[in-house]
Amino acid sequence: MADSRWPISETRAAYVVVVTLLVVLAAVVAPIAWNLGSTAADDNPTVQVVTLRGGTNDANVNAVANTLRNARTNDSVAAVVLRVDSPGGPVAPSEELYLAVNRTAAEMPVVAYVEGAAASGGYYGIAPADEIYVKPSSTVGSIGVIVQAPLSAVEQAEQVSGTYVRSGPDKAQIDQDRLREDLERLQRAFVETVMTHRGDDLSLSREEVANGRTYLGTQAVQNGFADRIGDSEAAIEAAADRSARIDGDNYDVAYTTRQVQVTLSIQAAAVDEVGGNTIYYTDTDTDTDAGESAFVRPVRYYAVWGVPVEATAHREGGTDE
Amino acid sequence: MSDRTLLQPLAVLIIALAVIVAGTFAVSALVGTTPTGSPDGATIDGQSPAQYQPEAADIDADPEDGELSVEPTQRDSRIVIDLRRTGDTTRADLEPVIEALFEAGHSVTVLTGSDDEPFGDALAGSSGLLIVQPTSPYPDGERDAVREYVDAGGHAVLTGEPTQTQVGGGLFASVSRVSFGATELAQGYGVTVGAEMLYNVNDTRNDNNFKSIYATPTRGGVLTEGVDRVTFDRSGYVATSGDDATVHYTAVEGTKTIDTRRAATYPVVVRNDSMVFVADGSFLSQPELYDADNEVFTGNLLSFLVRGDSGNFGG
Repeated sequence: MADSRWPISETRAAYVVVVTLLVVLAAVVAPIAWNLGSTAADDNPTVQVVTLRGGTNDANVNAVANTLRNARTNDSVAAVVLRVDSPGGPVAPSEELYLAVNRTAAEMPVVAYVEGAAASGGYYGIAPADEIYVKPSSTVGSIGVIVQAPLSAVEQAEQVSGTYVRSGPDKAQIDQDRLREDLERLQRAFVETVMTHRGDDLSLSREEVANGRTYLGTQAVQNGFADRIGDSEAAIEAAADRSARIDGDNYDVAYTTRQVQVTLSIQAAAVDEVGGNTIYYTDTDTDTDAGESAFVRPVRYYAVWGVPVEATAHREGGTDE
Repeated sequence: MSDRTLLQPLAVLIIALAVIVAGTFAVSALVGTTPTGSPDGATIDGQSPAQYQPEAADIDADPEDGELSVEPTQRDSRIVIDLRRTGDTTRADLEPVIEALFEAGHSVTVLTGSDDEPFGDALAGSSGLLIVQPTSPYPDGERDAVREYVDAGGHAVLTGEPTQTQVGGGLFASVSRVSFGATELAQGYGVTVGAEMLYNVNDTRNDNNFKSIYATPTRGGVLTEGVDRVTFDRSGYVATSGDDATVHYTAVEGTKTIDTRRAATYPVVVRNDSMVFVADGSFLSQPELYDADNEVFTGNLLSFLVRGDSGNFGG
């Protein structure tokens, strides 16, 4: 019998408390259960689509390499599609991208789809792919390396070398012959990488490849820089076909997209801070502590489809999708 | 409050929570999401592709050795170096050349933009004239002076490069197009600089850059003695007219023109009696002077100049 002081019975009050608790606990526990379930459950093998839109700079390549590493260690991933729109970037991360893709291609099928451009460092990255899909408007090629040595820096190194003490004759000096030798070393590694992975498909000679020309999709299919005309779905199907672990259409497709720094700029920009989904770039030349002498990095090597632009400090953001 | 009053709702809570958790788990398992996995970190070994190995990537650079020397048998000759119309070569750039001439007992007169002395007067009594990459024309009077000088027995070397883009230094770098200016002077000797620069993309046939072409002698003589091959950094080719000019060096096989990509045997050093024309002006100064056999070739050119005898020119 209800107490006259309460509008509802004790039992009902207890149930109200129970329902409230239930809502709160469910809100906390359900997402955990969801994640556990989704991770444990997926029996279908997966074609992982890894997207690189932007330059082959440190941030982008690190993100792609990390995704590829995850794909290699995830038993459910049976094949990878590289969806690329990249004009290349500095040589060092471009080589990193190549090594990461090469490693992945050694363990599972990797098919590349050139969304916009896979030129220079961008092509360096997809060279190890088992198959390369392009559209008529896709741009590939531009095999080669450039070195950016600001004329003012070259001149200053020589002219002001008397104003500071150096430990040896080559210290803090820029020499044109040595620049060319180093450029040639990087060029050889790049060209030979392309010839190693695409040599059997290419109708072009090593010299023609080294000329550094770009080709649109239809030309690329003709000369062996690419294999087929198709879209990303065709690339996904091709990757699935190539996997021994995928039977017919019984596979899932997972997308990992990274979209950072679409505009290309050859300059002294470096990742300064990664906060959430936003990456901040600052000009390292201006990022020196007050009171310290500023030193300019004398030379930079790029595997890039583009020409140097005037360096200005800038900030650009990106998002993970 | 009875135990049952508490226990019953508590049981309902536990059961309902279990159902929610299990249901969520089951639904998520059916739907599935992006696969995840832990990074394997250090378990990945580094890669070392064959094309990255030193034996595949490293290159052989031409040793910067050799000695720039001028024929010592002939002494007390005077060489005139005309830099009045030269774009980017300065007296300082030619100091090794001037030093070599001095050591062999010769003297040098360097004409720069600030010289007021009439050209003919400067040439008088000298044995050789070196004109480096003129970018503006010689006036009629000076062309006549050169012709009279060479006719009298003086020797001349004219270096000229094809039209190209040059970047100026300083605080604000400037880009400009520079062309060979002494066309009429050169054409008077049946030669002119070709329309395009040369390049060679074959790694074994250039000096570590496609623009640094190699050239080899095509005949013996004072200009080619002791030279196996030279390298020209901004080379064009020499276009000839008539039979008066003889070719002494040609670019190596596979060299092409950079715009039209035509492969041919391109003359780069041509001689017309006492006038020598070289389709590159970079080899006279560092960093090109000691590459390949450039220093021997330069020494040969200087020896050719000191052998001249302008006789009574200007007298």
